Amino acid sequence: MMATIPLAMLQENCEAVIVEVRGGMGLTRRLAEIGFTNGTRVKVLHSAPPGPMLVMVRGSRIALGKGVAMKIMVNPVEGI
Amino acid sequence: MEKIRVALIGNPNVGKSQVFNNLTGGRAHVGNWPGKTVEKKEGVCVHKGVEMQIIDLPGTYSLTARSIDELVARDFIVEEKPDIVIDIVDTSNLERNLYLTFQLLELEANIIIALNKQDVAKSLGYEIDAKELSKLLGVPVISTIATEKIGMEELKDAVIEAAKVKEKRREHTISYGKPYDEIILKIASILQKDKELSNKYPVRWLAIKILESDEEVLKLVSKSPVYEEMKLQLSEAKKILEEDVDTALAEKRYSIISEVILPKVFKGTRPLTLTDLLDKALLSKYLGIPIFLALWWALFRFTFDVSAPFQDLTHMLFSKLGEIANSHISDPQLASFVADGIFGGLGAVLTFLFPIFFLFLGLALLEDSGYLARAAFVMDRIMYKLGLHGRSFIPMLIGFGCNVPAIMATRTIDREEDRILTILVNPLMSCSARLPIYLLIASTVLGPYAAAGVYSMYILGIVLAILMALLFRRTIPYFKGKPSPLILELPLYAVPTMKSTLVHMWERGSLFLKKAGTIIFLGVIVVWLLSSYPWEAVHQGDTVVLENSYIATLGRFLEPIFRPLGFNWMAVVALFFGFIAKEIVVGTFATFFGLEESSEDLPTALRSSGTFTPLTGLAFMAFSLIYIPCIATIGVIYRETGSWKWTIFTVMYELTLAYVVAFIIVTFGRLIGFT
Amino acid sequence: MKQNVENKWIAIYAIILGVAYVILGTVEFALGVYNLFSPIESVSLVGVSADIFGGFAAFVIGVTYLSAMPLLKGVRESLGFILVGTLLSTVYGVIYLLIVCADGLETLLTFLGGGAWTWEWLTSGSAGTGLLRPEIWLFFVSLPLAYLTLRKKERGRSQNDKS
Repeated sequence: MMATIPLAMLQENCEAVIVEVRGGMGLTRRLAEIGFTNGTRVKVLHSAPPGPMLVMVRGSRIALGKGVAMKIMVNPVEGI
Repeated sequence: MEKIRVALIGNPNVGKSQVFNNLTGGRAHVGNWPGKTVEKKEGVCVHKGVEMQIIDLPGTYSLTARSIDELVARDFIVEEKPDIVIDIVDTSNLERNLYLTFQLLELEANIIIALNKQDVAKSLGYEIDAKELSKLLGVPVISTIATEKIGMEELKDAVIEAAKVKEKRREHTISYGKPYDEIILKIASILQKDKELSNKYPVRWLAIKILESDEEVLKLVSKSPVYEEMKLQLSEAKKILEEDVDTALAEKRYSIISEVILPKVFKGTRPLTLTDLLDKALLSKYLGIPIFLALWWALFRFTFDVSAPFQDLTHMLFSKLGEIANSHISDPQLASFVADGIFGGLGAVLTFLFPIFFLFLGLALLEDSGYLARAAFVMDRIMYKLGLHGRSFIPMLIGFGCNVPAIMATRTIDREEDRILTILVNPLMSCSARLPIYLLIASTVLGPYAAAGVYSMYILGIVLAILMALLFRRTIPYFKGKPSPLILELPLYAVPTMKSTLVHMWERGSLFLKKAGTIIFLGVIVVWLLSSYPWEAVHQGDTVVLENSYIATLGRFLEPIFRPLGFNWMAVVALFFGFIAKEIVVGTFATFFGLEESSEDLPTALRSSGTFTPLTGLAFMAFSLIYIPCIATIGVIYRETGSWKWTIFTVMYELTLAYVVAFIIVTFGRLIGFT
Repeated sequence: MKQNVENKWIAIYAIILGVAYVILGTVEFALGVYNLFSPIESVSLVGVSADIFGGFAAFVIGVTYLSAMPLLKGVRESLGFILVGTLLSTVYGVIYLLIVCADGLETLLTFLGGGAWTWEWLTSGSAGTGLLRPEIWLFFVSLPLAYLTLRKKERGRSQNDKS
């Protein structure tokens, strides 16, 4: 079952694939440049709301504020 | 000698400064990009009879028109057309780094890739095939380990080789697929017709930027005769394309990187690293902030306690010099000028220099090891609630050492509103120059509670900074809204090299020294002047009668304003000179009593003069914490905000706040029954 | 398995250190608070100084070590807490040592300036009780733990690379 959820709700150590990045053009572009594009696989390294979350994307560790993480929609991947 | 210009570019954290230092021997000329607040670093490297002028461009992830850093880098490459651009790529982070590489290729810059941090990649269990990468991209690729100076010679050789190929533009096209390629071609061919434009800029790049709605490029092209034609084509194109062209193009670049390039060059696996292990603790929900506070305290101890003997050493040195001057120069005025003015001034400057350098050393270690980004991460939640950006906390931290470099450090905050807000509240962080004031007053009138009194000043500063930040956020329209969201890369942890840390420390420290140092030195001279003249009236026989000096006149003139706070003319004068540099406040008191600054008798003298009671003393401490930043800080505020409006606002709000707080302390205290 | 036994010893080592730091931190903090509000001059207790922030830091170091308790159950990631703990031990151990040296330098300067020479700086000064400061000793105690943990991490990795 593939449910699309915001990245912010993904649990620690889970992986997912990006489906959509919502938000103003500036933010989408900025995220895209750092590697958050549709179809990219990401893994949550740290998540402790309401603080920022740490995500592994394309080999680098990127910290995202909660607001940003809410705008990235992902499909979780089964298993680790 | 043949001269070529080489620009260095790359993502943040790739080791660019290390490469720069390796090439130039660490000798850099630091200035500013004209008209911008971005730092410009240049150096020279001579190799095989060729002189290479190395220009360090700001570290960026991309070359859009969105941030100053990116614009500066891009403009340099496009307008100045350096002979070679060295793109420093972090092997342990290849995908993201190649994004910038693609942008450079589109810009048709003459690039050489330095594949850096090979050692890190290897320790993580994988390798990148440099030859294959070179083949795919069509540019030279040199493997390097900058921290061990490996690959530097090959790099220099490659630069000279590539520079010989005189065509500064490389034809290398990235296919974006239909319908983009066609549209780009169409727009490019229109632009080609404008010879002025096409001779100066790569037209394909212009076309792509136009599609991405790049402000700067659009501005540029609007002046061209073919503008209307191009606009027509563009609106045609927009009908076919999706809304978000630039995101689509970004995705396309990444898909080429991950599907075409990566499979051919990446060999190995990616296991759990030391970094992730350490992050488990350092980013932990409950321990993250306490650990940060513990490290912060350690930094403080290091900065103040370990530097103490060096401070005393300088003090001793300059006192000695003063004595020598006094005994060897016959004319009393000249002797005083040299001993108290010049040596006194130099002494004052150099004394506080040690804590500053120690602070920068500590910060350089924290930054180069990679920890500082983690600190920003754990503090972000709190910072956000306070209306400040996560990255504001580093300038706040530095502010405890000195506000001048702290305010300069706000450059890493990208959104202007967040940055200015941080600058506005930064002076409330009690800098190291205010400590002598607290120590003096506290030991004079607070007796056994002296330590508590000093601590409370630091806490007061933090509390006020938080309150002001929240207040400004709510009330001033410019700051309305939330701080910009955090998007921050956390680099791998690394053991910082001694050399790079020292270079880092030196860069920041010497800049500060030049700026603040001169001002403080001049300030002391001014104090000397005003307190020594009119000469005869002040120097009657062997005693110094300060009441007759110009300073005293000034103090008495201002006294009425401060009477409600309980400050007498001496205190007022001291505060007045604190405007020039907070260090001078203690010195001013010392001069009043004809004593040395470090004299143990100063608290006693101050006590017996009855200048302060415990209550007014506390109010004075609070006042000196808040009132105005020293002139060096004001200068930096102006430079970093670029506007008189904000600078004057800072001065005004702080003066008001200082008066109000001191007044509250005195009034409240009197109500409870203190005098 | 040999691995698990090793894990156990490392964990116990860490827990002992953790408890030591926690106790140290609490005492230092308490003494510090007491000093702040009582009009009596500095009090120190058997080599433990009164230090509010230093006590807080020591406490934090202790908690960090104690957070590695899951290692007893074999959770490998807890190694990170031990590593950070030893890092912090090192930072504080080194800094207090440096401060003692700085105090020594100060004494030297006073001596050269005509004052008397004392050995006071070894046992009292800016770092509280000088060389007697427990953080310095605990730092040395933490070194073998650091070594063991790093070695464990390397070995663990090469075993895991069968993926």
